[in-house]
Amino acid sequence: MTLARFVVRRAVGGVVFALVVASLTLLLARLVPGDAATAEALAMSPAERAAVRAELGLDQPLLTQYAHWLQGLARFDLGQSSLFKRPVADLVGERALNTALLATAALVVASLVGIPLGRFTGASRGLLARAVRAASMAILSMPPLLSALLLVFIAAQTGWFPIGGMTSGRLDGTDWFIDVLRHLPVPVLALALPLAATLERVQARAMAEAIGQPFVDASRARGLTRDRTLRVHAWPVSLAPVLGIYGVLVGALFSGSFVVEIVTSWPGLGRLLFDALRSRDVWLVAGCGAAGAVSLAVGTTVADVLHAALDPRMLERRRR
Amino acid sequence: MTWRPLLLLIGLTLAALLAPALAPYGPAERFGNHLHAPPMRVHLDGGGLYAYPLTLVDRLEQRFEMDPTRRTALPWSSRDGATPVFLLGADSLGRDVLSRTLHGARASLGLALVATAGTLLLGAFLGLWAGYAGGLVERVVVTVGDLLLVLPLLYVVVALRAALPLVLPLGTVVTALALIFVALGWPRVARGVRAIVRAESEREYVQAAVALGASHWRVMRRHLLPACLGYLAVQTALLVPMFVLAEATLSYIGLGFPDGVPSWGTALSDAASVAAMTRAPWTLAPAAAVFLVVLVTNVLLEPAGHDAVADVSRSG
Repeated sequence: MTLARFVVRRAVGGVVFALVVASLTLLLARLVPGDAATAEALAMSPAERAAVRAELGLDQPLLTQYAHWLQGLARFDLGQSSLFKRPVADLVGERALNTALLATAALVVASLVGIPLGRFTGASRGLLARAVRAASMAILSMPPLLSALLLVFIAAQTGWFPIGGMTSGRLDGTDWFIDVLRHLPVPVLALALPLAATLERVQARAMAEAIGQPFVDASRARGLTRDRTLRVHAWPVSLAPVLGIYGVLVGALFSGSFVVEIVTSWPGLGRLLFDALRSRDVWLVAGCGAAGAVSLAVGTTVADVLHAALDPRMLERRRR
Repeated sequence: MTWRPLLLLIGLTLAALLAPALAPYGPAERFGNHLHAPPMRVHLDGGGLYAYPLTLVDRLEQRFEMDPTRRTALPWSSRDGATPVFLLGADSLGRDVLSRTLHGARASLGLALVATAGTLLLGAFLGLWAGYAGGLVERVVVTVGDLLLVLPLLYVVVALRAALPLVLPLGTVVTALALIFVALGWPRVARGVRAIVRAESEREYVQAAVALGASHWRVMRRHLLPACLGYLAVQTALLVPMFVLAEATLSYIGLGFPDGVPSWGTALSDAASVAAMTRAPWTLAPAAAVFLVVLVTNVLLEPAGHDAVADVSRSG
């Protein structure tokens, strides 16, 4: 299989996946007892309730609603949110961008911290390496819920960083940018720390395994320095399993960002979905599901394609 | 390798059963004069273990003063009730944090253990069936399993739980949560079991059993299932902390156990407001309990395999 074919195949798979997940979310949202009209049921007369449901298109048969929603999807029209009184597409787009910012920053930080540390601990048996290893085990046991609580706690005690939200007040231009930067560290670190520990562990194990290979002894025997052997020969080989884990990390990133968004009040997709579910905002739930599914599909596809581009053995491997 | 997860499982089961019995106070017992009382230090001398009682000085600021002239025995040895001893402090309603954490172990660990048992049963069954039967069954199990594995667990758990009525009786909540956990967790088990069954089916001893006329049921039960035991043991140890975390997260956002039930998640949701956190950081003790469960699992399973790390991090 060529790389191009692999990309096309994964892309088609991703689209199908996104459609299935989005449809399932819509179905779930419709099966839920109650809708936007019941949330304010006591304040409305039956006629008003019927009017609200008709306006939102909730009085039609399920299949008609689904067909209508699919048609809208093609035009990026996802209906109207009853909670925010705004088009779902705008809301979801805004919030997805915030989540993407959080997740990308966390992934970059985790990679920059985890991979070099893992390279080091995998190749060394010294005291420092053991200390890093122990720290990594401890952080690994602190999934986003705990790391977020801990960091919010530290921020609240020390006042070094804002403890929640994405901005404080309405700002424009550079002020806004700087304000967001100040709010970033707590949620990003909460999300990045467990990921960095995961990457460190995987990289360390892969590095140790690579060092056990005969070609490492061979290059040492040819007179290469230890440092050069590790850097040029062992490390690139050890990267394969590390790259492989990124596809899995995308899912972890999503679950993690959900928790972090709730704990630190980051206005992202996870929080939006949570609010939408609680207020029975059917179209918003479906929109969040669609946006989440698309991002997830894009994330895993990109991770797999990069993996395949860097490690062509992926292309040879048939699906078992 | 198998004994370590087993040890962990026995330890956690014992903790779920015994921890509430170790708690000095009831989970709902309130001490109105000790709202947000800080943890007290334990002293030891010839007279045994004791602490100095705290008295409320300022109710509004919740300041307390220690009285070093009087001694109070620890709550386990004698309970006069008048002067409570809070080893981990008290929460916003004057309840002992240590007692609530210990009582919470039953709900949190209990739910996780029940869900793990269910997940193992369903996963092992589907994995065995898919691996042994092959064909359409295998394709369906693998496809559905892969779809569920890619989905971010937490989103789906929250979405499913939120789809149910928000207020439910306790029994229904426990059943619903356990069922949701099982429905989402089984592919983790089935995936490996199927692969092992696939590989083992080719081996001579299985073929010999088939040639000797053993029934499908007997081949699966006597020959293929035992081959998966090691894998199942490791999976068990991975699933428990994952479900403990899922419970904590769900209860934290108000979709897990009802408020009145002491669990690590409900205790965390009480403690998590910034005001409570700065005033009484000791109320975060249940977070330490969750951390300990996950840490012990990670340490016990460290050399177990490459999957371990990735699987644990997914649980967040």
